[in-house]
Amino acid sequence: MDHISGTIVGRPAPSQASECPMGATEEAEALAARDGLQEALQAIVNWAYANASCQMATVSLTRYDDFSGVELLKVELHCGLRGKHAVAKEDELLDDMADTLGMDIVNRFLIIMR
Amino acid sequence: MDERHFYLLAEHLRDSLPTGLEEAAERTVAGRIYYAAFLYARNLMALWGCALTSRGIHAQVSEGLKCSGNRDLFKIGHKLAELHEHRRMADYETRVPFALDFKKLKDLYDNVHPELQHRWAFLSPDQKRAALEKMQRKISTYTG
Repeated sequence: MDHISGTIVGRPAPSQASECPMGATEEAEALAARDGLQEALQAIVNWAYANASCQMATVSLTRYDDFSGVELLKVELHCGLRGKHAVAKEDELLDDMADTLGMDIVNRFLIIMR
Repeated sequence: MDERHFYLLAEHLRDSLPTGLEEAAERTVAGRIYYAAFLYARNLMALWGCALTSRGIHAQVSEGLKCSGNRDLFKIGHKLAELHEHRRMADYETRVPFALDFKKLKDLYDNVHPELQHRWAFLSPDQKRAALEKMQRKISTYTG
């Protein structure tokens, strides 16, 4: 199994800033650049920062092969979701993210909120 | 065989972890729950008329649902993909410590089975046709 991963970290933006600046490891940057995913990732990080009660959005970008060479991309958002309602809350957040950004952006990734 | 039996086996194994093999058993629980959900979804999609092939079948099912254009099916596909990721970690990432979160996996499973059939039943014939077309378009990217 070919498994490449990297981390993109969204840092708390200045209060007036509309975007959450991202810093990325070399591997993640290369991965995102190769697939032209930066814009989609930036949109997701911005959304997580503004809407998911997170003080810092950390995105782990992982590419792995399925059994037959299929590649899927996973984005982990550390949004401070806790407790027994985490799954329901996660659902609402996913809905909201899809409403805001569009399903075409969201469905490109496996988005896991923690 | 009823694919749900894989889930029932997972429950049974979770309740009677063999001494000395606890971690391997817990990893197996995650795998069985995923397969119970995946096979259920795969069989339903085939019944609906999706032309699935063996190459990349896991992605065909979860990504097909995610790209159906229907919000409910999208969310179910997303949950199936998340279960797949748990299964991947359980089966392949043996150097990463594994802590079974049975409740989380059960929640994900319950959101696939029997939700998928229920959500599909609520769609109109036109909605079903549109969803099938979009799913098949995504599936064909894996089947070539």
